[in-house]
Amino acid sequence: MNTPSDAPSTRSQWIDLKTLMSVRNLHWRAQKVVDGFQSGLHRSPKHGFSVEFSEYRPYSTGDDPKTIDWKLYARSDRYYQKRFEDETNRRCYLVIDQSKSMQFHSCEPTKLEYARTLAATIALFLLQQRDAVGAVTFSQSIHDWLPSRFRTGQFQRILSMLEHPCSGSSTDLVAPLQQVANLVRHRSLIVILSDFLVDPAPLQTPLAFLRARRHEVVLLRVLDPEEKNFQPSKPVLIREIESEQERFIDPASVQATYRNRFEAHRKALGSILAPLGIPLVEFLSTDPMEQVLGKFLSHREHPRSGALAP
Amino acid sequence: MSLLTPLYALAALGILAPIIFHLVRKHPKDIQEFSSVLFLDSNPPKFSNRSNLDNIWLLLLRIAAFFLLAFAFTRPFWKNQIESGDPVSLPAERILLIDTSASMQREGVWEQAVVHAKKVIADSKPVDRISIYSVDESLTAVFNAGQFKAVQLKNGQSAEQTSVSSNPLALAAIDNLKPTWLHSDLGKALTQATELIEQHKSDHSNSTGSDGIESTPRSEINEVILISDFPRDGTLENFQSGSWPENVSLVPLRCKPRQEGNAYANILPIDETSANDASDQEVRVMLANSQLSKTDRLSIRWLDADGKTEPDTTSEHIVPPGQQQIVRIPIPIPRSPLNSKSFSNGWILELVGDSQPFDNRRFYSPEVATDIQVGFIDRVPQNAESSLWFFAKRVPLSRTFETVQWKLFEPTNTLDSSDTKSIRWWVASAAMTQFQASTLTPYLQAGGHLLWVWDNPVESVASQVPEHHAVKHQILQSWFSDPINSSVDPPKTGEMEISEASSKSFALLENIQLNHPVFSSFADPKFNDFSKVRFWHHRVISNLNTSSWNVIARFDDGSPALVERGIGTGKLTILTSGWQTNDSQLALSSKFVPILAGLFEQAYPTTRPTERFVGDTFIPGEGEYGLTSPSGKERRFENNAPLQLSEPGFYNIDKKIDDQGKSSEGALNNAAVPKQFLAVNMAKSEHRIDPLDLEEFSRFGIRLETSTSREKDLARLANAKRQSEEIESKQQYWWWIILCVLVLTSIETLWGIQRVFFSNRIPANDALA
Repeated sequence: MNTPSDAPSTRSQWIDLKTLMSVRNLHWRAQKVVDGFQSGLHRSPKHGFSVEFSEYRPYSTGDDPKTIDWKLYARSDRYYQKRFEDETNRRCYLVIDQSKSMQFHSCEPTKLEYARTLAATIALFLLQQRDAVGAVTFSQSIHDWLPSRFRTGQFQRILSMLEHPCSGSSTDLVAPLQQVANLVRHRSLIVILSDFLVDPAPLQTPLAFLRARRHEVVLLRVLDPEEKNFQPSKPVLIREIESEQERFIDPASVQATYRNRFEAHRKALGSILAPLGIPLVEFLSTDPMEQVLGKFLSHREHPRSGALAP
Repeated sequence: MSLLTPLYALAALGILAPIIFHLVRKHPKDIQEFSSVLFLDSNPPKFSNRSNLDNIWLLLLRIAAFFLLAFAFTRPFWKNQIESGDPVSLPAERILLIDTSASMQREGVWEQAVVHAKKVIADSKPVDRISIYSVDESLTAVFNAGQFKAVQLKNGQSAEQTSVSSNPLALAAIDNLKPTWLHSDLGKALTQATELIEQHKSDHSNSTGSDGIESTPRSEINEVILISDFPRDGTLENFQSGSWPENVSLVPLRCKPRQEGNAYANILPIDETSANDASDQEVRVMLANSQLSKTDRLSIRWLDADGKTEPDTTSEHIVPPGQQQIVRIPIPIPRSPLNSKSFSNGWILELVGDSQPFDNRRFYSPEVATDIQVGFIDRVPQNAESSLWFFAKRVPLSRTFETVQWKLFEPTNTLDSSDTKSIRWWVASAAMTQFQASTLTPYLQAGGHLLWVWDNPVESVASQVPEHHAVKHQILQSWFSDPINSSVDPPKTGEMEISEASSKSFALLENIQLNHPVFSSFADPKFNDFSKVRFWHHRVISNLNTSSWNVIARFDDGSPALVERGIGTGKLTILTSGWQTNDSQLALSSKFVPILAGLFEQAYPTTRPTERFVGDTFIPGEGEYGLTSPSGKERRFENNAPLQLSEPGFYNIDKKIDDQGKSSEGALNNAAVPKQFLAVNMAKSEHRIDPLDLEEFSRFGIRLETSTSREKDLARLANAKRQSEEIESKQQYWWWIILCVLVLTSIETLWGIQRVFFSNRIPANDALA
């Protein structure tokens, strides 16, 4: 299987990202990304998937009566429950950060737009694999919640939810993740799309809780190029979008400090994620979407590969 | 160098702005939003007051630009012709005339006058001199420059150190000034103001250079300010005889009442010719309403002297604005007979419905009738038709308020001083004795009149002719020092001789002086036909000295018929013929009564006014008098002291009669009644107070100005400013200054761009390094 990171020579075959982002229709955008990606990725995602019988089990009080096999009762005059193999499809939740910091952009598109497109792409990809996909948007708390389903129109619902205008203010990952852990009972793949520009230490508890619930967690970190390579040219007053805190900076002295602290933050985040077995996929909002999707799938096939830097 | 708009120089304070900007470190101008400040430390800018200015040359450039910009806005220019002397600073001599007549008592008028006057004083410059006069019937000094100067010198100040506006004397004089009840005579006041100006001019020319005390420059009076309500009937015509100085302007300041228009009621005097029986019970009242009046319903009523309304006396009348109406209204209580001396009372006629209450009361006192005695010296007539007395006493000499009573004295009667004092006119026949004539001498010399009629013909008393004419000669000799012939001595050449006319026919009058008061009533040719008045007998006076004797009429034979001559202040009139039928047809003709009445009018003219006004002078007569004015003030007068009637109302005059019941001799002036009750009213002209057109002043050659000299000074300043603007608009230096500013600004801009460019390059180099 070829991954985007393994085939840099094929980038030119991909769809131009700027052209893609200029198209406002999110569904069409995601469809194009997946079709272009799937052409060499799966042979037939629509085959080899069915519900199979598992066993009969005597009915006991408290069981759901609808599981009684009435045909067997007619034959044997005994109450038996017909047990099937449980869902063989994967459940996936796309958790998207919609805080104000996601709206920052030094160039088009914004991190939020990128994250939405990426979430829609992943949703379409999984739905085409007949996986159940749900979505969660949050900032300080959960804004919208769409349970994971595989049914007709689910993708439209996801798109509809993603297209809701951004109403978040500040970022708080702890409370939303705990809520997600409480809401998602079945073992699921939880994909968190955020910039993770928060103190990483408090994240350990909710992420560990998710892992304890046997969820598979993937962090997709989207960054603006300016956030990674902060290079102010003149003395400037920096105002944070969320808290409106202001910092006077001197370009001569701030750059090195920023880089060091950014790296330290990345390492701290990695040190929290590594013991929990949670991969971190980091990319820029200017990166080609196919490349990011390739990284994500590559990680799905090699779950212990760790954090992947862009 | 002058500045047209010097206030713009304050904009030069803008040079502080670049200085401050150069002292303060620049703040970061840009605010950049960022997703998170998690990785940033606050690095605030360092503010410090640096004593050393950065970029001093750039700062100087900016200061110069600001300064030149402000300088350009001040519009500098060079004055080529500097005016010599400031006309504004020259002292002004002003006369301030304030009308204090009765019409100024209208509501709101006097307050305006005070405001005007104080404004004139306040607007005067410290070096100005102002004299204040009140105007009613004449000018009265209220505050003059000499008084002001005296105060200044007393305080040891010069004129420059004191201000008229702060002078308490002028303002106190204005405060103390009150409107009177007199009428205004603006024409007379302006005439007197003209005299003041001329006098000031002559004083100024005499004192210039010779008065050592005079330390301030004085100029001639150039302005007369007249504060008045300018009534239409302000008798401005009295100025017709005056000539207004050419270089003096009159500034009229009009005081407007709160409400225009006025109505008044005026009691018309009783006309002697139209007096009838009803005159005692009613009076004629003229109701007049001015054109500006807003009402036409007027009512009049009687009040008693104390101001209480007489019941049932109110009558309403409709008088449209601009019209007059004469109504007859009854007097509240029956009027006393004319010859009553005891009656003295008064009423007030009040007008209701007028908006101007100051003249709504008219004071009315019925005239007290007096008796006039005329003495007649004649024998008791045996035959009535041959007696002078018979015809004379039938002549109606009585007037409306004077009843003539004839008193006959026999030639044998002796006359005493009481007779000569109480009798106003004497008529004597030829029977008058020398003793009686000598008694009448002081009467004549004190102003009395005597008509001496030589009535008895010579033929009837032929035996007594010498004696008879001798008596005449003796009497005349006692009165005059001229040579008069005596019957004892032969007549001398040039001496007056009296003889009987020898004509057998009748004589007629000729050479009559028709302009003489006695014959003035016959001046019309319709009445001067004396051909029917025939004189059968008359006496002839030959050699009459016409330089001392006035021949009023002559007979057709040339002898004088009626002659007169003054004795002291009195007058002797001689008729050389009698009017009885034996002598002539004079008593039977229609000419007799007018001639005798004319002679009586000469002796006792009708001088008593029927109505008295505020401002009139009243002479009660000899003796001591007590006076109570309408306002209740009591005063005492003695010996013909004139009484000035200063307010409307009733004056009570009580005469203190001495114990002897007589007064000094020769008092022949006003009627000396024991008690008089005078009704005094405002002048009629004060009722007609519709505003005068101020252009009337120009008709009399008065130069009229609508603004005071202070306002003219301001206009002069405006003119000077306009001239400066013209000069500046020709020079227009500000264009060049603006050009310099543009050059400096361009240099500053280029310099600033260069600095910014270099300042941006330095960090880049540092980054590369």
